[in-house]
Parts: sequence; C-alpha cells; structure tokens
Amino acid sequence: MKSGIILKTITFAALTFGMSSCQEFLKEQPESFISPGAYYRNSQDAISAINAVYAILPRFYSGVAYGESPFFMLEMPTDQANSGVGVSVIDQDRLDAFNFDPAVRHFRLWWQYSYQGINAANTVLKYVPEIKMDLGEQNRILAEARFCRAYFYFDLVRLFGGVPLISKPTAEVTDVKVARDSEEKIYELIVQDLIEAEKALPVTIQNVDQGRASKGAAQTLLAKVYLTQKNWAAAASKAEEVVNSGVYSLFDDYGDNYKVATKNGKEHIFSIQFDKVINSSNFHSWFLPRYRGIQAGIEEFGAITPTNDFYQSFQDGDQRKAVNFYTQYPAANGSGIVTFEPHIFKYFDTGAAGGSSENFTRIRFAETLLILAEAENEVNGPTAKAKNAINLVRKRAKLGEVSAADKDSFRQAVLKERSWELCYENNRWFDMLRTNTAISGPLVGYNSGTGVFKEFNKYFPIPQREIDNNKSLLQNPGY
Amino acid sequence: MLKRLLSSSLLWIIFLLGQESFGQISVQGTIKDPSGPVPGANIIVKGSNLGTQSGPGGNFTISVPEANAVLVVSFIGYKTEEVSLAGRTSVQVTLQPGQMNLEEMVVVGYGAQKRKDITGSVSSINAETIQSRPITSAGEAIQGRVPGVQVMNNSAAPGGNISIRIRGSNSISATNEPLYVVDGIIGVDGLQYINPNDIESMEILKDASSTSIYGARGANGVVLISTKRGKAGKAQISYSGQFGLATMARKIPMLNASQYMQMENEAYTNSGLKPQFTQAQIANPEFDTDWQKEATRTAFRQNHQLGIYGGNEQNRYGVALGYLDEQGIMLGSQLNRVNMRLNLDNQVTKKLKVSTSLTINRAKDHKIDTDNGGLNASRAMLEMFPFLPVKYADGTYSNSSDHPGGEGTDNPVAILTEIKDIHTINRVMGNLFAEYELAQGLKLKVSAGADIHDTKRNYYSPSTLRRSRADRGYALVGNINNFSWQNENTLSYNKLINNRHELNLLAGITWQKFKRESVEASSRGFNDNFFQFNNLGVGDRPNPPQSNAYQWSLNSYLGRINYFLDDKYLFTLTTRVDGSSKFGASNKYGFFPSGAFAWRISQEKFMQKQKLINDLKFRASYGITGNQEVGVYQSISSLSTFTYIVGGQRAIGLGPGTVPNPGLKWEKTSQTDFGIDLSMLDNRITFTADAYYKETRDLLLNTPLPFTTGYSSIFKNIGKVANKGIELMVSTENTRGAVSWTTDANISFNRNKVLALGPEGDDIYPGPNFVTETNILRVGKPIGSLWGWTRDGIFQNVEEVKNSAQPNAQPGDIRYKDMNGDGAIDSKDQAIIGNTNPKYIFGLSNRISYKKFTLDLQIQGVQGNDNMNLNPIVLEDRQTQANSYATLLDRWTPENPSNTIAKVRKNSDLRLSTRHVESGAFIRGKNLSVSYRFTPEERNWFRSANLSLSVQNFFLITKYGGYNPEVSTYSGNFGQGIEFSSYPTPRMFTASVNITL
Repeated sequence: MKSGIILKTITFAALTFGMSSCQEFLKEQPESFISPGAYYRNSQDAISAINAVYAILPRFYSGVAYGESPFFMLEMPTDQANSGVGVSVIDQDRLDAFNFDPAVRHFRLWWQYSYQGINAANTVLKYVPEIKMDLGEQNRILAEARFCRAYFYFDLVRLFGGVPLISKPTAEVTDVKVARDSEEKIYELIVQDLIEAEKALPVTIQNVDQGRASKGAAQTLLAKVYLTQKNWAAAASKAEEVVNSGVYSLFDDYGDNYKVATKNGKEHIFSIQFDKVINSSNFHSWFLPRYRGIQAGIEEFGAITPTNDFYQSFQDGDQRKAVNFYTQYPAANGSGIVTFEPHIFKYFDTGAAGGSSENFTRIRFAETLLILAEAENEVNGPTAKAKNAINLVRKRAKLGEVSAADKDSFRQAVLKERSWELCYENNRWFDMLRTNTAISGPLVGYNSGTGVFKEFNKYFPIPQREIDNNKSLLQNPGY
Repeated sequence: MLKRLLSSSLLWIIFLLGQESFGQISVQGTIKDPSGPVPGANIIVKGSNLGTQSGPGGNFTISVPEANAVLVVSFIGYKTEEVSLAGRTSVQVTLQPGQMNLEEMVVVGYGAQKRKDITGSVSSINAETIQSRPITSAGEAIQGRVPGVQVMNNSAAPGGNISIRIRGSNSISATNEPLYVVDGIIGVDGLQYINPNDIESMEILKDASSTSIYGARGANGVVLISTKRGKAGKAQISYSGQFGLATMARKIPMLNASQYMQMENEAYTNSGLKPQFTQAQIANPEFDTDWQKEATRTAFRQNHQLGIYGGNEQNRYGVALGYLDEQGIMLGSQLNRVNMRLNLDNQVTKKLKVSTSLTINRAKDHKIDTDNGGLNASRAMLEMFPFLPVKYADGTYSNSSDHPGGEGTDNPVAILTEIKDIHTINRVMGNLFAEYELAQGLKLKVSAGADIHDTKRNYYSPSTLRRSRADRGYALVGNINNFSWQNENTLSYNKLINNRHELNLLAGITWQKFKRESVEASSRGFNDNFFQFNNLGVGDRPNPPQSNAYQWSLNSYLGRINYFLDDKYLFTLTTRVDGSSKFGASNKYGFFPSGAFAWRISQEKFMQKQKLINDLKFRASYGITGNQEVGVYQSISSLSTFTYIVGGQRAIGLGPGTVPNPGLKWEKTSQTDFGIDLSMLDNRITFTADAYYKETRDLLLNTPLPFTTGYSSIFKNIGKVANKGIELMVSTENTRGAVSWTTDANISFNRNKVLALGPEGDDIYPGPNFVTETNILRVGKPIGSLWGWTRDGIFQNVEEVKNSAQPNAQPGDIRYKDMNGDGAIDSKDQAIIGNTNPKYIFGLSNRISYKKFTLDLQIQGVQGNDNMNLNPIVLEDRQTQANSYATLLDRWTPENPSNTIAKVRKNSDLRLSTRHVESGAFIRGKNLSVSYRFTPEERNWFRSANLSLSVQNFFLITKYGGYNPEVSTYSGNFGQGIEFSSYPTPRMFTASVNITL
C-alpha cells in the first residue's frame, strides 16, 4: 500500500513537472507588431522606414483634435491674425497676447512631433545603409531622411533657439538628459543635411511618388535657411537654381494653390499630403465663421480671423484678397446667404464632407521667387533679376509692376509682397522675427491689441514638460 | 502545450480510477428550532460530501456509510450542530439561533476552512444576502456589506461598469480591481454578465495571508465566487421572479426656453454683439422642450430564475436557468441576459470524486453611454437648446447647429433612437476537476478549466443624424475573442496527531494561458440607412480593416502549511512563485510569501469560567503579493505602424514605437494586518476589527521621457504608495422571539499616500484631463488628488480688477487666487484642490421579522471625498453654444453682485478650478423591502415561498450637483469621482416572488 502511494506521487510529479520548458512557455512572441531586431533587411523595409518619417509631417496639421497648433503658434501672434470671438480655447488668446506660457500644449506638441520625426529619420540613416538594395533607391531614401531631419530642425531652431542636437536613433534610455546646443551647431547640421539631400533627390517627382521630397524642395528649403541666416548670395543662388530648373511655375490662378482638384500641381514644391479617406485634414475648420451653418457636417470653429489692419492693407485690384477672405456665403441648408465680418477663406474646402483631402503646402514656387527677389536685392540692389522675380508674383495677382527703385524700398516691397502672397501659410511669424518688423513698425513694442511683443518673445519657451523631464535643459530667458 | 496538459490530466484520471463500493445505512430525522420545524436546513455527513436538506416539517432522510457517523446540521441564522449517530437511525435536532457560525466552511484560495480556523482577513457573503435585493451584477452584492471594500456603480446603465477597491488603491498604472475567481477559474472579468442568483457564496480575501496564494495577482485582494451545487436528497425546484419599474431619481434644473433666450441675448449684448432673439420669441417660445424628460422613460425590468438541485450520495446535480430583461431609464438602453448552469458532483469510487462546473451565458447589451466627452446622449440631454423641438413638422430631428452659434450636437432623442450600438457577449466557462484520495488524508486534485468569451459589436449611426450626415452613415462591426485555459494540480494532506496537532499541507503547480484576438471593420457612405451594420460592402467609403492579437501566460508553484495546536494557536504559511510572460527577460519569476498567526483566546482555560464571551480570536499576518495586471509586451521594443500618403495611395511605414525595458517586473505589495474576532452574549453580538498597513513598491509607471529621445514614455518600476486603514464590523441580534431584529453594521477608514515617484520625485499629471489637468500625483499626497486653480469670487468693480493679478479682467469676471503671488494667473497657480478618496465608508443593514413579515433596510454611505464635476465647464462657465444650468439665473450683473457665477458672455475663460470640485459624500437608502413568508403546512405542495416588495435607491442625501455622487465617466485608476455627463441613476421599485418545491 505504502509503496503504491509513493509510486503514484512520483508519477504525478514526473507527469506535471516534466511537461515542457517553462522558459518557452513564458516567452513573449508578439504577433500583431514587429520588433526592430527582425527588421531592416530589404528594400521594402527601407521604404517603410522612410514612410514612417514622412508620416510625422501631417501630425502637426491633424495630430491632436484638428491640427490647430501650427496656426495658433505661427499665425495667432502675427499682425495678420486675431483670436476669434466666442471661442473658448485659452491657448489662442494667450498666443495672440504674447503671453507665452511654457505649459501651452502647442509648444509641447511641436517639440514632440519634431523629435519623433528626427528619431525616425536617424533610424533610417543608421539602418538603411546596412541594407543590400539598389544603390540609387538607397541614396534617395537617405537623402529624404536628411531633408526631413533638416525640415524638423529648421522649425525647431527658429521657434525655440538652440535645441539639443540629436543625430543618432535612441536605442536605450540610460542617458537621456541632454543639454541644449548652440543655434550655430543646429544650422550647421541643417545646411549639411540639405546639401547632401539635394545631391541625391530626384529633380522631378513621378505621379506615384507625389508627397516625397524633390531636389527643388531641398534647394528651396536651403535657400530659405540661407535667407534666415542672412547669407544673401547663397540664398539667391539656391533660389535661382530652382527657378532655372524649369520644373516649377506659378498657377495662373492664385486660388488653385488651395484647391483639392489642383493639389500637387506645378507651383507646389513640398506639400504635406492629406486624403479624406486615408488621412483627412481638418484644419480648415479653424477658419470657418463660428457655427454659421455654411458647411454641413463639419466643425465651424471660427478661431482664427484676420486683423483689420492686414485686411485693409491689400491693394485695389489684388486678386488674392478674394481668395484669402470672404464676408458672405450661402448657408449649407439652402436658407440663403449668410453674412459675417471678414474671415479667412483660402482653406475653405467647399467640397469637404467631414474630413478634407486638402494638402497643406509648406514650400511653393511663389516663395522661391520672393526669396530670389529679396536675396538678389540684398546683394546687388533691385536688379532686373530681382524685379522680374517679384513681378511674376504680382502679375499673377493682377497687380502692376513693383515701383520701388532703391534697395531699401525694394526690401520693404518684397516683405509686403510676402505678407500678401504667403499669408496664413506659416511664414509671417518667421518673417516678422527675422526682419524685426510688424505691420505698424518695429516688432519689439508691437501691440497686437491684447498684448505687447517684448524682446524675449522672439523665442517661444521650451515646453514645460520637457524642462520637467530633463533638468539639463535651460529655459529661454524671460519665461 | 494545451494538448500535453490535457493528455496528462486525462492520464491521471484513468490512472486513479479504481473499483470500490459504498456502505448504505438509512437515517431519518427532524430539524426544529425553539418555535417549530425548520425546512431547508443542510444535513451533511461529517468528513464526506454526502448531504441533504430538510423538507416541509423539517423532515429528512439520509444514507450514511457507517453506523457511528456524525451529522452536521446547519442553517443560515442558526448555530451549526454536530450530532453523533452512535448507531441510531432516527434523530431529532434542535437548532439554536445565532449569527456567527464558527463551524461553517469558508472558501479560501485552493480549499475551504472552518470559520474558527481562519487566520487571515476574510469576509463572506452568502446566497441569502446576495438575493436580498434585486441586483444585476454580482459586484453589487458586496456593496455596503463588507468593511474595507468600496463598490462603485460607475454607470447606472443596465450592465454598467462596477468598480471595486479593497483597502484602497495600490497601483498607478496597473489595475486596482481585485482578482475574481469563479469556481476555481482565476481571473474572470466581465462580472456584470455572470448571474448573481447562481452564487452560493462570495468570499472577499483582504490580507496578505489569504491572498498570497494568488501571488502576482493577489495585491488588490481576491473575490472568490462559488456557485450553487446539488445536495443529496429530494430534488429541490425553485423559481424566483422579479418585476421592477425604474424611474429617474433626480433631475438637474436647466434653463427653460424663455430663460435661455434671455440669457443668450444678454451674453451677446455683453460681448458687444447683436442679440439673436426678439422679445416676442422670448415671451412666447414656439417650443419649450424638457430634454431630460424626452430622453428618459419609466423602465421595466424582469428577472426569472429556475433552479433544480438534487441527487444522491454518489451523484448530485444542480441545473439553473436565468433570464434577465432590463431596460435602462434612458431611451434605447437595454440588457438582455440568458444564463445556463450545470454543476455535477460524482463520487466515482470511494476515493475518486469528479466535479464539473459549466456555465453558458449570452448577453445582449444595447449601450448608449459610450463616447464619453463627445456629444453623447447623456451630454446632449443637458446641453440641447430648450427652444428646439424633438422633431420638426417635416419629421426631421433638430440639432443644436439649427441655431447660429450652437455647438452642433444632435438632440438626445435622435441619438438614442437612431444610433444602434449592440454588444453581444457569448461566454462558456467550465472547470472540471478530479480529486483522488491517495491515502488517508492525502488527496490529489487535478483540474482543467477554460473561459471562452466572445464579444461582437454592431454599431450604426445613420445619415439622419448631423454627426453622420457628411459620412452618409457610419457602420462598424467588431469581434473580440478571449480564450483562457488553466490547469492546476495540487496535493493536499491533513493529519491530526495526538488530538493536539492538526496539520494541513498543500502544494501545487499551475499553468494558465490567455489569448485575445480582435477584428474590426467599418465603412461610411451608405446610400440608404436600411442596411445598418449588416452589409458593410454597400458603403462606398470603407475604412481599413483592423485586427490585433496578443497573449500572456503564467506558470506558478504554490504551497501552504496550516498548523493548529490545541485548537488555540493557529499558524499559516503560504507561498506562491509566479512566472509571467509579461515581464522582462531578467525578471520572469516572482516570489510571494506570507505568514499568519491566530490565537483563539476563548479556548484558554482562564476564559472557560466566564459566560460573557463565546469566542475571541486575535489574528496577525504579514506577506507580500504582486500585481501583474499591466498590458502585454511592455518589456520589449517594438516598431509601430504609420500611415502616409504617397502618390495618392496609402503608404505604410514602420518606425520607432516603444523603447525596451528588459528589467520590467512585478509591483509588490507588503501588507501587515492585525485583527480581532469577538462573539459574545450568547453569540448575540459578533464583532470583527482589522487594522492594516500596505506598502506597494516597484510601482509600474509609464514614466515620461524627454521627447528628445523620440519617445514619450517608458514603462518602469518606479515609485511607492502606502495604504493604511481600520475596518470594523458588528452584527447584533437585538431581539429574539416574536419580533426578531438583527443589525449588521460596518465602517472602514483608509488613508492613501504616494511615498515616492520616479528618480527625482517629480509631479505627474496622469489624466484623464479636461481643458486643463484634472489629477496630480505628488509625493506625500494621496492618489486621486485633484488639480486646478482656486476661485476667489467675482470681480465686482474696476477697482478690484486694478488691484488684482488679472489686469485684463472686467467686472463680472471670475477672480482666481494668485497662489505664488507673482502678479499673474497662470499654470504656476494650480494647486491640489480636492481628494477623491473617502475619509470613511459605511454600511448599515437592519432586518426585522414579525410573524410572517420581514422588513429589510440597507443604508450605505461614503463620506469625506471630493468629486470633480466637469459639467459646469460646459453648462455654467460658457454660454451661447448650449443650454446652461438654471443656476445662471443668479449670474453676476451690475444689479446682482453675485460672487459665485460670472457674468454671461460669448467668450469665456475655461479652466478647472475649485468650482468644479464638489463633495462626493453621500448617504443612500440602498434598499427597503417588505416580504411575506408563506409557511408550508405538513402536506403542502411547496417547501417555502415568499412575496416581497422593495425600493432601491429610496433616498439619497448628498450635496453633489450631478445625478449621482457615486460616479465616474472615465475609466482607469484616476477617473474615479470625475464626471462628464453621466447616465442618470434610477430609483427602482421591484416586486419579487420566490417559491421552492
């Protein structure tokens, strides 16, 4: 009897304990996602990797809620935009009044998306060179990663000043408390990346590749970087290369820049892609008059309205005014015409039902021309080359040729032209900063009606969350 | 793997089968109490599974294996009696009333113990208590009944979510809900779909000694649920039916049409704009809709239960069938549930017993309260403009954008009527075990169980609603399959040595695996609303299909030693070693030991002479438990999927997703508990007190990373939190005799404190967030601290503005306290403005019986906690986009210098402040019922029957301004007490009938 028990007990133990390896039983084997160790092996993986970099771009314009951050940060504090009446979002009022609280989430989002994109680009630059694939395609992908990295850093350095320079992907999180680098170092990387990028990027983009960066995109961005650095000769020559490439030209109609039907057209050099089915844009909701029922099925926030000074500044006959603004529109339910104070019209996708397929164009040919005009004037004065460039833009707006005769008044003319041509396209704030001017005079001391611009406002504060999580990071002075 | 386990279990069953037979001696008897026969009492042969129940007249017949067997007779409300037969074949047993039953068996982890032998802190709820009021979810049965346990009905919708906290919150990122074990199946979720009427008992394990046998899942306490099983004897057939009507218990006063119009005109005027309504419209509005009335109804509830239990000494069965049909008070919300259960116990041979528990459930839940924070029905019910109709003359629904400036919500009746959101849940749960007696006292138990649980979701929002007009209808179907299996193998050994030393040993090895697969497809662009969710292909704008899968596994070793010396000194040592796939490669296994000691002082010689105290026990325990309830795959690095558009086509990207942490491990909670159990005055007063201190370390926290890494956070073991508390419970038998009156009361106090956070102890804002941050985690403060600005009245004049930190304000604006005195109001002026943890919670039940009538009264209370009511943000702080609270009638105007409500205007300042923190304290009349018991005469056709009438939520005392102070519209650990437009809590009237044949 007793031996029977022992036998049974031993058998029990043998059966249960000897079943299988416990380590194997407890190993995690994910099935619905992939871990990096098993990736970056072929050309398809390289394309997926660069897509993940591009995919960060639309987040700025649709990331949280309706993609208001770029417009709140880059339009609200300018002399072109006001915070709309009846909108209960404190951030936009603060931005309009130069009350830049480091806790404002838009600062955080911009910072977050930028570094997410930079890490993704760094990942491409680290792993893609190890892949055995077609050399041309490989170089193009690496050039695209450099273009994107420069794009992110160029915004960061202008918004926040010298930021931490990260040029390798994050593999582990042991040493994450990095300090700020100088503006010069950031610009050094941007220029170097763009020079590398323009070498390998294609001159023209095939239809199936619309959305990817071109040589012209890298060159115009580089021209813009030189312009910001006041490296006039380099800016002029880069812009001229793009003009002379013959790839780009102006639309006959200024309004075609903002239509879904004409997106990725001849004037568009680099657009952030949206599609109402795949990934729609909603930023137009911020510009619609506040819930006046002129567009069915979408939000009408009415948050961003033009300043009266800017609205009145348009010259008679300027065709752009009617594209940029409107004061009436038929009600969506057919009940007649709705009238309102001037609102911004250019992003109104009249065909949108719910989300829109409207792209956001970050670089377009009209700006290349205006960069050329401005830089050429700084180097050689208002030469025919400079005048020709600005007049192309004015002609399209159905305005006469520029009348400025001397360098100084030509400079003023180009700046004004930029304000009309590129309004609400995330350029004005940077133009105000780099030229230290507002519509009414010098930028420092400019009164937006709700607040006064102070010297330290030329940089936004480093987002509070970042300061909280990285003690090595010093806040910009004044905040 | 599964196959191997099953085959090894099967092998065992075959291996153990032997051929042995039973002795049979028939014994007859009668059970009585001082006033007459007791039907329904349990009679069990001691040391066996043989048992029966007394029939009408208290009679019973039972077969016993040997002539000198001992019968154990028990019945709720009576002291258990042991009767030694000593050769007799006829016995008469007289039961004495008494509450605390020291001999009754209490289910504990992997076994059962006599109440007197328990060394840990364990509370029990029996079937009678569970059924004393109509409930839909088993969790509700515990509400107000068990000290140290806070049960919150977070949504009043049928089948709404219930949240349970045992002794406070231990965790920040992992769950704080206890572990549920149903008939041995560990980790059951979706408790609202389990039939409470099937439950025989619920045991709540609170201290480390009783929970550490569940190791890495025991830290939040454990709820053991045992379902009803058959007993030997004449088959017992019972029917119970409930018929209920639910009505809205309170309404929130809102502006009516004229009042709203006036208010909006004033807001426009104050903002320098032209008013929108004419005096004629205000004087005589075309419509004046009470949306709370339109969107709700008197709801009907019916619940039918049929149970058949019986069998003989060898084979016993329990079969139960339940049907529930519960309407919610908001239009369209409804829960239908069918439950079937089969429990079998078979004594296959003298040494082999096989038991089966099998349940099949199907539930259909018409949900209406999803989409929190969006323009859902419960929000629209308050926000919809009162001057708009439900439908216009042409049959179309109104929506708030019909009025310029309106936010665009569909009206609540339209939402509730038109949107279909149907969740169908099918569940099969079963556990099969075989127990073999290897030798005297040595038993081997092998079990195999599974929980298969599918949820299908069908959703359709038609184009008749504004929200889906542009989409031209939106349809979604989704399916989630959960499958979990477990195999447990335990050896137990019981031995009594020299009548002094009692030893119980337990050892085991267990395996468990869980897998979830989900799939979802949706489409837009339907030319006709006919198809709803039944034909996604008809939509011309399909969304990309989605699917997902994940799994986790656990492998554990457990052991327990109970040693009782002289029935006076009780020792328990428990341990479990858990290995979990969820944790980092270097930390797969965790060790969770505990020890307990109890001293039955009343057994000492010096206590024998006194008559006052019947039983007195002192308990002490210490142990460590864990919490592994975090998401899967957190320790390994992953690539995430990204989408861009290239050439107008979807282009899929794979880029950095998460950063690895191979050191990820369990949260560990150490808990010390001291307790006293006292029973005195002939057991008329029983009293239990516990004091505990818990400390959770290696707190799992999604720690923020600097964004410069490219990542936003990493899951890490960081931080420490402590809970300490006192729990008291007293039961008294106030009167005996013609009027019998018993009282149960309990009260508990818990204090929670964060001891450490991250390497530098920085504050964390864990959400849920609304406009501004709602919560803060700060060292030294409790979890559940609310965050915001402090209001300091209203600016009355220009002079006050000038001397303030808000130079741009106007008279009539809200004034905030400049907390840091820097002359500006900004994020540096936010402070802790509330605490959602109660100071104490209590429950009080009284039962008074007189002749055939019984009155039950249950009161439940929570005191000293704050809620964050977000509704005033949209209903008081901003105007013109939606309707507002009637409190706006007392707004600031130059003539009415209100100091609480700002002047109305179009542009408002929205931030969370002390205005949004309200007391969440309440006292609720949980249940009031009167029942009448029909007593069967000798030859009657039934054994027992009763009729009862009850009211739930019959009163509510609270200062809270929402529908219900016991609220949470956000899920997760920090959503407790935070409300944004909740489902209104009903008052329910129920008539019940119970018959047992």
